[in-house]
Amino acid sequence: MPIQLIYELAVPPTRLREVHELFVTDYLPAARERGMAFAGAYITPPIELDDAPTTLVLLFTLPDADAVWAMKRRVTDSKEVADFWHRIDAIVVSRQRRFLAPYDEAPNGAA
Amino acid sequence: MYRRIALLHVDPRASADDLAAFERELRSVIDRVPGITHAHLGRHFTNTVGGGDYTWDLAFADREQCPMWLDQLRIAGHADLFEHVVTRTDAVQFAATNVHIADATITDFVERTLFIEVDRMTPPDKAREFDRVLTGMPRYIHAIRNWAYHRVDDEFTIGPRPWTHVWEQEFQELSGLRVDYMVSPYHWGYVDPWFDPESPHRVVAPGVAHVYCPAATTILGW
Repeated sequence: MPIQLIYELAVPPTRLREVHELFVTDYLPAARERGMAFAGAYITPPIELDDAPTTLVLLFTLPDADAVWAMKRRVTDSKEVADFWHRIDAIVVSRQRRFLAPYDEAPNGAA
Repeated sequence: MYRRIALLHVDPRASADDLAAFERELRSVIDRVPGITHAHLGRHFTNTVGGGDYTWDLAFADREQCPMWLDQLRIAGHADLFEHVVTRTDAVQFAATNVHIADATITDFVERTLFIEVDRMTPPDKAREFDRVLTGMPRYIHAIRNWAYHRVDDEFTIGPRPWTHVWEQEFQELSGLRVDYMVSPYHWGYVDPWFDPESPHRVVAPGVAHVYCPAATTILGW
Protein backbone atom coordinates (compact mmCIF):
# COMPACT_ATOMS: atom_id res chain seq x y z
CA MET A 1 0.00 0.00 0.00
CA PRO A 2 1.65 3.29 -1.07
CA ILE A 3 1.76 5.90 1.66
CA GLN A 4 1.88 9.68 1.48
CA LEU A 5 3.56 11.77 4.12
CA ILE A 6 2.56 15.42 4.30
CA TYR A 7 4.14 18.24 6.25
CA GLU A 8 2.17 21.43 6.75
CA LEU A 9 4.15 24.39 8.03
CA ALA A 10 2.27 27.60 8.88
CA VAL A 11 4.88 30.21 8.00
CA PRO A 12 4.55 33.85 9.14
CA PRO A 13 4.69 36.66 6.58
CA THR A 14 8.10 37.33 4.95
CA ARG A 15 9.63 34.00 6.06
CA LEU A 16 8.34 31.61 3.37
CA ARG A 17 11.40 31.71 1.13
CA GLU A 18 13.70 31.21 4.13
CA VAL A 19 11.79 28.15 5.33
CA HIS A 20 11.65 26.61 1.88
CA GLU A 21 15.38 27.11 1.38
CA LEU A 22 16.11 25.53 4.76
CA PHE A 23 14.01 22.55 3.74
CA VAL A 24 15.73 22.18 0.36
CA THR A 25 19.27 22.48 1.68
CA ASP A 26 19.11 20.94 5.16
CA TYR A 27 16.35 18.35 5.04
CA LEU A 28 15.56 17.11 1.56
CA PRO A 29 18.89 15.46 0.61
CA ALA A 30 18.96 13.26 3.72
CA ALA A 31 15.22 12.60 3.45
CA ARG A 32 15.79 11.13 0.00
CA GLU A 33 18.50 8.91 1.48
CA ARG A 34 15.95 7.69 4.00
CA GLY A 35 13.73 6.48 1.15
CA MET A 36 11.34 9.42 1.10
CA ALA A 37 10.41 10.31 -2.50
CA PHE A 38 9.74 14.04 -2.72
CA ALA A 39 6.50 14.80 -4.54
CA GLY A 40 6.50 18.58 -4.41
CA ALA A 41 6.16 21.75 -2.35
CA TYR A 42 2.92 23.74 -2.42
CA ILE A 43 1.43 26.72 -0.64
CA THR A 44 -2.07 27.36 0.63
CA PRO A 45 -3.75 29.71 0.16
CA PRO A 46 -2.20 29.64 -3.30
CA ILE A 47 -0.51 32.99 -2.86
CA GLU A 48 1.92 34.17 -0.20
CA LEU A 49 0.12 36.36 2.34
CA ASP A 50 1.61 39.51 3.85
CA ASP A 51 -0.66 39.74 6.91
CA ALA A 52 -1.20 36.13 7.99
CA PRO A 53 0.64 32.80 7.86
CA THR A 54 0.91 30.95 4.59
CA THR A 55 0.99 27.16 4.86
CA LEU A 56 3.86 25.44 3.11
CA VAL A 57 2.84 21.89 2.22
CA LEU A 58 5.62 19.37 1.55
CA LEU A 59 4.64 16.05 0.00
CA PHE A 60 6.52 12.77 0.14
CA THR A 61 5.64 9.23 -0.82
CA LEU A 62 6.80 5.92 0.62
CA PRO A 63 6.10 2.52 -0.91
CA ASP A 64 4.83 0.64 2.17
CA ALA A 65 4.86 0.27 5.96
CA ASP A 66 8.33 -1.27 5.96
CA ALA A 67 9.64 1.89 4.29
CA VAL A 68 7.92 4.02 6.92
CA TRP A 69 9.63 2.14 9.76
CA ALA A 70 12.98 2.21 7.94
CA MET A 71 12.64 5.99 7.60
CA LYS A 72 11.72 6.36 11.26
CA ARG A 73 14.61 4.20 12.47
CA ARG A 74 17.07 6.42 10.65
CA VAL A 75 15.95 9.60 12.39
CA THR A 76 15.51 8.25 15.92
CA ASP A 77 18.96 9.36 17.02
CA SER A 78 19.66 11.95 14.33
CA LYS A 79 20.98 15.18 15.79
CA GLU A 80 20.82 16.78 12.33
CA VAL A 81 17.10 16.08 11.95
CA ALA A 82 16.35 17.26 15.49
CA ASP A 83 18.33 20.44 14.87
CA PHE A 84 16.50 21.05 11.61
CA TRP A 85 13.09 20.87 13.29
CA HIS A 86 14.26 23.08 16.14
CA ARG A 87 15.23 25.74 13.62
CA ILE A 88 11.91 25.35 11.80
CA ASP A 89 9.94 25.50 15.03
CA ALA A 90 11.67 28.77 15.86
CA ILE A 91 10.14 30.28 12.72
CA VAL A 92 6.78 28.67 12.01
CA VAL A 93 3.52 29.39 13.80
CA SER A 94 2.60 25.70 13.86
CA ARG A 95 3.21 22.52 11.95
CA GLN A 96 1.53 19.22 11.22
CA ARG A 97 2.80 15.90 9.94
CA ARG A 98 0.28 13.44 8.57
CA PHE A 99 0.37 9.99 6.97
CA LEU A 100 -2.18 9.27 4.26
CA ALA A 101 -3.29 5.93 2.82
CA PRO A 102 -5.24 5.49 -0.42
CA TYR A 103 -8.92 5.27 0.40
CA ASP A 104 -9.43 2.16 -1.71
CA GLU A 105 -6.52 0.28 -0.17
CA ALA A 106 -6.66 1.27 3.50
CA PRO A 107 -7.75 -1.41 5.98
CA ASN A 108 -11.19 -1.27 7.51
CA GLY A 109 -11.61 0.23 10.95
CA ALA A 110 -11.96 -1.58 14.23
CA ALA A 111 -14.12 -4.72 14.16
CA MET B 1 -3.29 -6.67 42.71
CA TYR B 2 -0.01 -4.81 42.85
CA ARG B 3 2.73 -5.57 40.34
CA ARG B 4 6.44 -5.07 39.93
CA ILE B 5 8.25 -5.53 36.61
CA ALA B 6 12.04 -5.64 36.47
CA LEU B 7 13.98 -5.58 33.23
CA LEU B 8 17.39 -7.11 33.86
CA HIS B 9 20.62 -6.69 31.92
CA VAL B 10 23.05 -9.50 32.71
CA ASP B 11 26.81 -9.39 32.44
CA PRO B 12 27.71 -10.56 28.93
CA ARG B 13 30.60 -12.51 30.46
CA ALA B 14 28.18 -14.72 32.41
CA SER B 15 28.45 -18.35 31.33
CA ALA B 16 25.56 -20.59 30.37
CA ASP B 17 25.90 -22.30 33.75
CA ASP B 18 25.85 -18.92 35.51
CA LEU B 19 22.66 -17.99 33.70
CA ALA B 20 21.02 -21.34 34.39
CA ALA B 21 21.73 -20.88 38.10
CA PHE B 22 20.53 -17.27 37.91
CA GLU B 23 17.26 -18.37 36.34
CA ARG B 24 16.72 -21.10 38.95
CA GLU B 25 17.30 -18.63 41.75
CA LEU B 26 14.93 -15.98 40.41
CA ARG B 27 12.22 -18.51 39.60
CA SER B 28 12.21 -19.61 43.23
CA VAL B 29 11.40 -16.09 44.45
CA ILE B 30 7.78 -16.96 45.11
CA ASP B 31 8.90 -19.45 47.79
CA ARG B 32 11.28 -16.96 49.38
CA VAL B 33 9.49 -13.64 49.61
CA PRO B 34 6.27 -13.51 51.61
CA GLY B 35 3.62 -11.51 49.83
CA ILE B 36 4.49 -12.53 46.27
CA THR B 37 1.46 -14.22 44.75
CA HIS B 38 2.74 -14.78 41.21
CA ALA B 39 6.12 -14.65 39.47
CA HIS B 40 7.46 -15.17 35.97
CA LEU B 41 10.96 -14.85 34.59
CA GLY B 42 11.20 -14.61 30.80
CA ARG B 43 14.37 -14.54 28.74
CA HIS B 44 14.00 -12.07 25.90
CA PHE B 45 13.83 -13.02 22.27
CA THR B 46 16.51 -11.57 20.02
CA ASN B 47 16.09 -8.04 18.65
CA THR B 48 14.50 -6.54 21.72
CA VAL B 49 15.56 -2.96 22.44
CA GLY B 50 16.63 -1.13 25.57
CA GLY B 51 15.50 -3.64 28.21
CA GLY B 52 18.35 -6.08 28.57
CA ASP B 53 18.00 -9.84 28.79
CA TYR B 54 15.16 -10.81 31.12
CA THR B 55 11.72 -9.62 32.18
CA TRP B 56 10.88 -10.49 35.79
CA ASP B 57 7.16 -10.11 36.49
CA LEU B 58 6.03 -10.21 40.11
CA ALA B 59 2.62 -9.77 41.71
CA PHE B 60 1.55 -8.98 45.23
CA ALA B 61 -1.87 -8.89 46.84
CA ASP B 62 -1.54 -5.15 47.39
CA ARG B 63 1.01 -2.38 47.75
CA GLU B 64 1.56 -3.05 51.44
CA GLN B 65 2.72 -6.57 50.60
CA CYS B 66 5.37 -5.31 48.15
CA PRO B 67 8.73 -4.79 49.86
CA MET B 68 11.18 -2.18 48.67
CA TRP B 69 13.29 -3.50 45.81
CA LEU B 70 16.50 -3.90 47.79
CA ASP B 71 14.57 -5.49 50.65
CA GLN B 72 13.09 -7.99 48.24
CA LEU B 73 16.57 -8.94 47.01
CA ARG B 74 17.82 -9.27 50.56
CA ILE B 75 14.86 -11.33 51.77
CA ALA B 76 15.17 -13.67 48.80
CA GLY B 77 18.92 -14.01 49.20
CA HIS B 78 19.44 -12.50 45.74
CA ALA B 79 21.56 -9.48 46.65
CA ASP B 80 24.93 -11.13 45.96
CA LEU B 81 23.61 -12.74 42.80
CA PHE B 82 22.52 -9.37 41.45
CA GLU B 83 25.85 -7.87 42.46
CA HIS B 84 27.71 -10.39 40.33
CA VAL B 85 25.39 -11.10 37.41
CA VAL B 86 23.14 -8.10 36.81
CA THR B 87 24.67 -4.98 35.32
CA ARG B 88 21.52 -2.87 35.13
CA THR B 89 18.00 -3.07 36.49
CA ASP B 90 14.99 -1.06 35.36
CA ALA B 91 12.16 -1.81 37.77
CA VAL B 92 8.73 -0.22 38.06
CA GLN B 93 5.68 -0.98 40.17
CA PHE B 94 2.03 -0.08 40.05
CA ALA B 95 -1.46 -1.10 41.09
CA ALA B 96 -2.88 -3.26 38.30
CA THR B 97 -6.16 -1.58 37.44
CA ASN B 98 -6.25 -1.29 33.64
CA VAL B 99 -6.08 -4.88 32.41
CA HIS B 100 -8.11 -6.32 29.53
CA ILE B 101 -8.23 -10.07 29.09
CA ALA B 102 -9.82 -11.49 25.95
CA ASP B 103 -8.13 -14.89 26.25
CA ALA B 104 -7.56 -15.98 29.83
CA THR B 105 -6.54 -19.48 28.74
CA ILE B 106 -3.82 -18.38 26.32
CA THR B 107 -0.83 -20.76 26.43
CA ASP B 108 2.67 -20.81 24.93
CA PHE B 109 2.52 -17.25 23.74
CA VAL B 110 4.57 -14.04 23.57
CA GLU B 111 4.56 -11.52 26.39
CA ARG B 112 5.57 -8.04 25.25
CA THR B 113 6.46 -5.21 27.62
CA LEU B 114 7.15 -1.58 26.74
CA PHE B 115 8.51 0.92 29.25
CA ILE B 116 8.10 4.53 28.16
CA GLU B 117 8.78 7.94 29.63
CA VAL B 118 6.08 10.46 28.81
CA ASP B 119 7.33 14.01 29.15
CA ARG B 120 6.12 15.11 32.58
CA MET B 121 5.46 18.61 31.22
CA THR B 122 2.80 17.25 28.84
CA PRO B 123 -0.51 19.07 29.43
CA PRO B 124 -3.03 16.73 31.12
CA ASP B 125 -5.50 16.80 28.24
CA LYS B 126 -2.77 15.92 25.76
CA ALA B 127 -1.54 13.10 28.02
CA ARG B 128 -5.09 11.73 28.22
CA GLU B 129 -5.35 11.86 24.44
CA PHE B 130 -2.09 9.91 24.15
CA ASP B 131 -3.46 7.29 26.57
CA ARG B 132 -6.64 7.02 24.50
CA VAL B 133 -4.81 6.64 21.22
CA LEU B 134 -2.32 4.10 22.54
CA THR B 135 -4.89 1.90 24.23
CA GLY B 136 -7.02 1.95 21.09
CA MET B 137 -4.52 -0.36 19.41
CA PRO B 138 -6.15 -3.66 20.48
CA ARG B 139 -9.39 -2.66 18.72
CA TYR B 140 -7.51 -2.44 15.43
CA ILE B 141 -4.77 -5.05 15.91
CA HIS B 142 -6.55 -8.27 16.77
CA ALA B 143 -3.31 -10.18 17.33
CA ILE B 144 -3.22 -8.40 20.70
CA ARG B 145 -5.10 -10.92 22.82
CA ASN B 146 -4.64 -9.48 26.31
CA TRP B 147 -3.29 -6.08 27.30
CA ALA B 148 -2.61 -3.72 30.17
CA TYR B 149 -1.57 -0.08 30.45
CA HIS B 150 -0.46 1.58 33.64
CA ARG B 151 1.06 4.70 35.11
CA VAL B 152 3.84 3.57 37.44
CA ASP B 153 4.38 4.72 41.02
CA ASP B 154 7.26 7.16 40.47
CA GLU B 155 8.74 6.98 43.93
CA PHE B 156 9.63 3.30 43.63
CA THR B 157 11.24 3.23 40.19
CA ILE B 158 14.67 1.60 40.08
CA GLY B 159 17.29 2.35 37.43
CA PRO B 160 18.63 5.22 35.36
CA ARG B 161 15.41 6.11 33.54
CA PRO B 162 12.37 7.73 35.17
CA TRP B 163 9.87 5.57 33.28
CA THR B 164 6.25 6.75 33.54
CA HIS B 165 4.15 4.06 31.85
CA VAL B 166 4.10 0.36 31.04
CA TRP B 167 2.27 -0.92 27.97
CA GLU B 168 1.93 -4.73 27.90
CA GLN B 169 0.40 -7.15 25.43
CA GLU B 170 0.05 -10.90 25.04
CA PHE B 171 0.26 -12.29 21.50
CA GLN B 172 -0.39 -15.90 20.59
CA GLU B 173 2.35 -15.87 17.94
CA LEU B 174 5.56 -13.93 17.53
CA SER B 175 4.25 -12.83 14.12
CA GLY B 176 1.44 -11.06 15.93
CA LEU B 177 4.00 -8.65 17.33
CA ARG B 178 6.55 -8.57 14.53
CA VAL B 179 4.05 -8.37 11.66
CA ASP B 180 0.46 -7.54 12.65
CA TYR B 181 1.50 -4.96 15.24
CA MET B 182 4.12 -3.35 13.04
CA VAL B 183 2.25 -3.15 9.71
CA SER B 184 -0.96 -1.74 11.14
CA PRO B 185 -1.54 1.83 9.90
CA TYR B 186 -3.07 2.54 13.29
CA HIS B 187 0.41 1.95 14.72
CA TRP B 188 2.77 3.66 12.27
CA GLY B 189 0.37 6.37 11.18
CA TYR B 190 -1.56 7.22 14.33
CA VAL B 191 0.24 5.99 17.45
CA ASP B 192 3.86 6.35 16.48
CA PRO B 193 3.70 10.13 15.87
CA TRP B 194 3.43 10.42 19.67
CA PHE B 195 6.87 8.77 19.83
CA ASP B 196 8.43 10.21 16.68
CA PRO B 197 11.12 12.90 17.09
CA GLU B 198 9.98 14.48 13.80
CA SER B 199 6.39 14.79 14.91
CA PRO B 200 4.99 17.92 16.57
CA HIS B 201 2.70 15.59 18.55
CA ARG B 202 5.52 13.76 20.26
CA VAL B 203 5.13 13.30 24.03
CA VAL B 204 7.33 10.23 24.62
CA ALA B 205 10.96 10.92 25.49
CA PRO B 206 13.64 9.35 23.28
CA GLY B 207 14.53 5.75 24.05
CA VAL B 208 12.09 3.08 25.14
CA ALA B 209 12.51 -0.40 26.58
CA HIS B 210 10.80 -2.74 24.12
CA VAL B 211 11.13 -6.39 25.14
CA TYR B 212 9.30 -9.65 24.60
CA CYS B 213 9.71 -13.15 25.86
CA PRO B 214 7.97 -16.52 25.73
CA ALA B 215 5.48 -17.43 28.43
CA ALA B 216 3.44 -20.55 29.11
CA THR B 217 0.32 -19.11 30.72
CA THR B 218 -1.12 -15.63 31.01
CA ILE B 219 0.72 -13.08 33.12
CA LEU B 220 -1.69 -10.21 32.59
CA GLY B 221 -4.52 -12.50 33.68
CA TRP B 222 -3.00 -13.21 37.10
